This record gives sequence, C-alpha cells and structure tokens, in this order.
Amino acid sequence: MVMTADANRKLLMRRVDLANSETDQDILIKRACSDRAAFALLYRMHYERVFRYCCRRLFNRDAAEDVTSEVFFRVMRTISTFDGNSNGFRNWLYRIATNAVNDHLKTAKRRAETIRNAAQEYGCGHAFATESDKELKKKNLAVKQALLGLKPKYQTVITLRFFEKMKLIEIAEILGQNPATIRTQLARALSKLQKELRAAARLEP
Amino acid sequence: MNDNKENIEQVLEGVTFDEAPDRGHQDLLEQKLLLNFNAARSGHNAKRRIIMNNKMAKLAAAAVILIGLFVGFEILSGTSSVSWAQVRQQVAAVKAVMYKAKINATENGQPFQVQIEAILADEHGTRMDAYMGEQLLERSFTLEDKKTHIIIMPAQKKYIEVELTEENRIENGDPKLIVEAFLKGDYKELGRREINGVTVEGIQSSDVSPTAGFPGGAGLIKGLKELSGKVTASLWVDVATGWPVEITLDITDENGGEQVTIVVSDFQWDAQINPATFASVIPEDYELMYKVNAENLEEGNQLVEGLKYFAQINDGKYPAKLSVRDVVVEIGDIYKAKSGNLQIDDAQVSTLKYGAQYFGTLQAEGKDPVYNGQKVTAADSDKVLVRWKLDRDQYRVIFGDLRIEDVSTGRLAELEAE
Repeated sequence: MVMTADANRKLLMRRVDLANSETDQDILIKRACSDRAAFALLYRMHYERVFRYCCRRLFNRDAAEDVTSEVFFRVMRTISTFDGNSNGFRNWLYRIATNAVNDHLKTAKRRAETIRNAAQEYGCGHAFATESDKELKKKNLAVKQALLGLKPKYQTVITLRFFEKMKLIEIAEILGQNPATIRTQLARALSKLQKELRAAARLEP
Repeated sequence: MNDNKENIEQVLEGVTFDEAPDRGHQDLLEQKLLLNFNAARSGHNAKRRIIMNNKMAKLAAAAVILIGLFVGFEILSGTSSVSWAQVRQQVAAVKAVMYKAKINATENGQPFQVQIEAILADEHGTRMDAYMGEQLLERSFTLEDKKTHIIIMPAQKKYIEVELTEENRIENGDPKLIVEAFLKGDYKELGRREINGVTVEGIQSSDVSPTAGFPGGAGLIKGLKELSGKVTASLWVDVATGWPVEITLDITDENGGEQVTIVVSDFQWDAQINPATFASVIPEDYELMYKVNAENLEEGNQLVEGLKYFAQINDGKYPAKLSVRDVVVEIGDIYKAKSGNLQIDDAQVSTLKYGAQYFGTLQAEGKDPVYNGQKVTAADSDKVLVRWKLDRDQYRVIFGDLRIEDVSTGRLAELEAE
C-alpha cells in the first residue's frame, strides 16, 4: 500500500502524540499555571495550531497574528481555571481561539476590513490542480469572502470541519454543544455558503 | 441536493491559505507573554502589548520620579487649619523618605498598572524599583557620590549608565529646588477627608510644571508634557502631624484618549535607610548596554550615533520628529513595516532616545534648536539636519551626512537659505 503524504503526516503526528505522553502533558499544563518555563513550552507546542486556525478564519496574516496574541494572553490569564487533560486542553484552546476570532469579527467595520484584506491578498494563494492560476485564485477569494459573509457560528463550524478536518464529535466538544446540533448547523452553514457564492457569481460581470 | 453538497465540500477542500507561521512573531509574542507572566498569575489585569510598547510605562515611571520629588510641594497661602508653611519646613528638612506609587494608564484602550517603590536619601541617593505585578521591570539608582544615574533592566540583564553633570547632580533629589518649581502654581483647597483612618486636608493644582529634578531628563519630561494635555495634582496632608499622606496626579492627553493616574502613598518620612539598599548597585552578571556621557551629548556625538542607526534601518531617512516619544513610535512603525524582520538594537535605540532627550533639553534651555528630519536625508550632505545655539554668535550644526561643524550665525543663515 502506498501511503499518501497526508497519511504519513498523520502517522507522524500520532507518533509525536505518543512520545509526548498524556501524563507528561497533563503535568506540563498544571505546571504552566505557575511556572514561566512550562508556560513557554506549552505556548511553543500550540502556537502554530492557533495561528493556522486564526489564518483559516481571518484569511489575513496580520489579523491572525493579532488574534493569536490575544488568544495566548487569554490562556495565560485563565489557565489556572482549566481543569482537564491534554486533549481537553486542545479543545479549550480552540474554544478560546474561536471566541477571540468571533470577537475580532464582531463589528461590521472590522468584518468589512477583513474582507477587504482578504481581497488584497488575492493572488497570494496557490492554484487548484485543474484550472488556470488566475481563475482558481479568484475562486479562492470568492469562497473566503463568502465565508466572511456568514455569521461567525456558521463560519466556525465550516472551518473546524473542512479546514481543521475535525469530526463532528470533536467540534461539538469544542463548542460545548451536542453533535446533532453541530450536524444541523453545518448543513445550514453549507447551504448559506452556497447561496452566498451563487449571489456573488451573479454579480460578476 | 447531494451533488450540490459534494460540490461545495469540494470547493472548501480546495481552498488554500497563506498560513506559514512567522518565527519572528512567535518569538516576540513569547517574550511579551513571559514578561507579563507574573502579573497575569498574580491576578492583576495583565496588560498586554504594554511592556513591549512601553513608552507609556517609561513616561509613567518618569512621572513617578517627578512625583517622588513633589515632597517639596509648595503652598503659597491658605486659610485651612493645616499650617502649609510648617509642611514646607518639615519636608525641606527631611533627610530620607520612602514611598510607594501606583501608576494606572491606558494605551490603545488597554489598561495597565506599574508600581514603584522609591527611596530617597541625602546620604546615599535615590533608588526606584518599578514593577508590573510581581515582575521587576526596572531598577534605577542615582548615586550621589559617583554622580551617576544607573538603570538596571533585569529582563535583559543589562544596564544603562548616565553620567550626571554637576548641574543636574545638584538638581537631582534636592527638594528645595523642586519646591521652587512649584512655587509659581495656583491651587484650590479640597477640604478634609479620611485616608486609612487618618484625617487629611488637601489642595489641588492644575498648574503643575514639573520641569526640574530628573537627572538629564528634560527631554523625557518634555515627552511627558506632550502626552499630557491637562495635569491635575492633589496633595493630602495629615491634619495632626503636617506630613504629606498622599499625592495624586491625573494626566490626560490633549484628545482625552490616554490618561495616566498616579497615586503616591505609604510615605515614611525621615525613615532609617539601610545602606545595603544602595550597595552592589550593578549585579555582577549584568552587561553595560549603553553609557550616556554628558560631553558626548553636548558635542552632538550621541545624537549623531542615534540618527545614524535610525537612517540605517530606515533607508537613509531620519526620524520625522526628534522627541523620545516620536522616535520610539517611528521605530515601532519601521519594525511593523518590515514584518518583524528587523533586529532592533536596544543599545542604539537608547542612544537615539538619549539624543532626542538632549534635543528636548536644548529646547527647554532656549538654545534655539531646529530639526529638519522631514526634509533632510543621509544623502543631503550640505543641508542642515540639526542645529542649536552655542553662544551669541555660534551654532553647532549636524549636516545630512552627520558631519558636525560649528558655524557663525551668518554662515548658518547662508546654509539655511540654500
């Protein structure tokens, strides 16, 4: 059997997860409440995950860096209230990041700015495999702008499901809802996204 | 419907992102977090972005240093039961005082607090410890005998040494001179209230002019004054003993956007000072970050070094304005514009800050200084970048290529006409 790059990556991640046994990470999380070095280690372990999630929500590096900063300051202030294991910590981190992104997008002005920034980054993305670069970048942008046009709760479930590749049960844990609710939200979110994309396509010259 | 669903899912799976993390941002954020770690842990409202962008903290600390010298707050007259003349006499006779101060400020809507613990002793000098939460940000000493001002930065394990001139050595910590600085101010009586069970009587002044007393710090004070559109100072004195109990200072910028509130309290007048407090000022493993030399400042070399660094990191352009506040802001902007890919040299930034501070001193001293950073670049070798008056007929000029020359008033007029 030939392993794909994605499968290889997942296997590697699993090995890394095993190497960093839960017990060690649980201890690290506890120590991070009062120990700067432990907190720094925890931060370094999770920075990339949080930053990528913010990029996938905001489509703009500057905004993603700002919100990532906000996330880790929130973590630092509230880590002593976290009572769980390392897996729960990852979910807790996603929850904080989701709230921080949604707070960032709360104002209409900020949202418009984010859409504008996404448009400015038009041309920076990579192409799909089967169409011309220009066409695919345009499509990429259209999807991002349509996503930003959705309510944050819909954008959140789409991002977690399709960009973070999470299962419904994981998304439910992060958002503190049951999986059936998430399934319904996801269906609605996809339907609304499709409508947004169709409306945008109609407006095209 | 299913086709549609599959189609949209395919579209989403094809979306790509520019999401490779920037190591510079990661490192910078880590530093910010760790610097604020103790404050956050101790339950203080951790004030992010403040330490890194700490011009407000610096200004606030400078304000407290001034406040430390407010002990000579002068009262011209009054009809209350407190004998203000007696307050003045008592304070002027004090040999040593300890106090604590809390500085609350906001920047970009984010509140933060710095605490100061200060010791002023005629015999030893002045020591100020500035904390955010439990984190020691900075410890500064002014040593009377060595005529030096030392700023110790534990986070970097470095220190800055400022050589005091005879003039500012005398000014530093001398309450009589500070009293004179406040003599011109008007005040209104605030009546009585209680502070921690002590009956106090207060006065308020909106005419405070804190321009003296900080060693070599007129430029820094100027930075503070630029920040402050309005200053309201209050002094509360124990009715029974005549000793000051609390001093507050509210500083609001011209737009009302940024505010600094300083409360100085916990005074211990004529306290017994342990000499060990001033011993081993510089820890053994600390490195000298920069030495500020009065001669270098006056010659203009300090300014030249700082401007040279700025032009290096800013494509040959000099700062648009020459004040501590402005150069710090501009360096921050350059750093941001270069997406964090610029390695900031703290020592060089300090050089520029002290140079800018000195330029502020020249303004305060009426030396007719002019700075043309918006018009003159490193390529303009014959244009006047900075100039100030040395005496009646002579000016010191720093040209665009950072050459220093002393020229006559007539020659300066020609150069500036060109």
